[in-house]
Amino acid sequence: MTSRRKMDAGLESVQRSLTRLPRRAATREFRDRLRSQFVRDTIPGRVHGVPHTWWSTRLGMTAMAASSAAAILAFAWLLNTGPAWKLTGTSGSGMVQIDGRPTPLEVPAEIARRLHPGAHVRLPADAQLDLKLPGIAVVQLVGGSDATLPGRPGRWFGRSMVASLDAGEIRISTGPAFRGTRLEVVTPEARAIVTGTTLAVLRPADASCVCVLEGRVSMIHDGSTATVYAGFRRSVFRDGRAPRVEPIRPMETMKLTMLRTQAKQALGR
Amino acid sequence: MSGPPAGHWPAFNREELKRAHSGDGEALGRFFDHYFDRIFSVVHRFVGSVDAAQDITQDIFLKVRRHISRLDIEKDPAPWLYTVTVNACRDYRRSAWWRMSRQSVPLDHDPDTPELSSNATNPEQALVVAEEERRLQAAIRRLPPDLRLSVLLHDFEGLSHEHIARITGTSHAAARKRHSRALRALADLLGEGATP
Repeated sequence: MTSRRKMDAGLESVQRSLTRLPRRAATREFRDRLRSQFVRDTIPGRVHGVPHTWWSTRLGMTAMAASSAAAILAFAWLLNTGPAWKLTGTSGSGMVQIDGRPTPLEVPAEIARRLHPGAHVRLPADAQLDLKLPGIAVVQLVGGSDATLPGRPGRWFGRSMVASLDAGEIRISTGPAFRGTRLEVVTPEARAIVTGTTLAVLRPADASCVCVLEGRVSMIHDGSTATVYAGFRRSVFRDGRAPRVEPIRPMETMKLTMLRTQAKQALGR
Repeated sequence: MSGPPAGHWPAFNREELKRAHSGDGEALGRFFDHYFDRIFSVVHRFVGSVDAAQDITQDIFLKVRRHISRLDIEKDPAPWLYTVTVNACRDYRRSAWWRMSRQSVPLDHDPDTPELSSNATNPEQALVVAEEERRLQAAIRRLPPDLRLSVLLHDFEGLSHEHIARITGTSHAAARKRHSRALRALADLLGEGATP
């Protein structure tokens, strides 16, 4: 007999045994009691047996799985939270508007308290705010700027940040921990995508301009992307004129060089 | 005590069902008598203990009593009763009692020792039959619950795979496959038991 036939014979024998299994009956007392309760509709729900735990029900298991997943996500989110922006310096006088609330530039502690990721900041003409994202980047918001601060990048995921600049100038220099982070500066005309460099984004009244001291920056305007290389500035105009690329101006070079030096000290680059 | 032999559930009288449906006590009693033994025996073979089987059967009849007035009296209630029974068995396996019973009752010392068969011609044969039943029941209890339901419904109850698929909410092919796996697992378990 082949092994296949032997196996089939074994299974048939098991099946035969199953069909021959006698039916067991309940005790007479139980049957009579249940019958009487069934007829009178007085069967009590679970009297002494089969206790259910709340998590043993389908709903309970679903709830437990959902809450476990939520707890894991919350924990991962907490662990992933990157460093917060820190105010490292202020200059100038007057009132800085943070989310529409005037705050004196002379009280940096109050400014630091009010600044948060996504805060809307408007600086008076002669002021400057220096910010640091430890290890990742330093940012200067220059006088006359109307900007929204970028958020906090995650440590492992969600590492994109978006800042916006409606007027004025924002200078950025990235640090060693910037790798894998993506910072986007959005102006009304263009978007500058920073992936590790020293640059300034300027927003005069009728244009947006990206000045790159080192590295390179992708600049998106009217749906097309152009790369701005180190030592150059690229301007795009609101009135539809063709974009202009020219060497970076000496004053901007000087300011960005100072920022890079500051970044090296602050971020350990 | 042994009940009726395994097989399909005979249909319950349509007129009686109508009366039970409208709450007639006598008809309800006959409905109970018609299905009680079969439900109890399936549940008993599933859990392997009279006490637990009585508890589950009580739950089943509680559900049946609550919903009998909503039954479609044009249809045979047997498929619905099977579904209620299968669900009660599945609920039971998720209960604390199930976990407790699995931890505390060794299969070798099943309190529900099979009774000696009345069909046996002599005491020796009766002992052999009882021992075979004990081994088979112990092996059934070691099967995963879905496989256990599969062999009990198909081989003990005599239901077709198509019918089982409808009751358990799976496809016909899945029900066949599950039954085939269950039989092989059972054969393996019985083979293990035979090894000294």
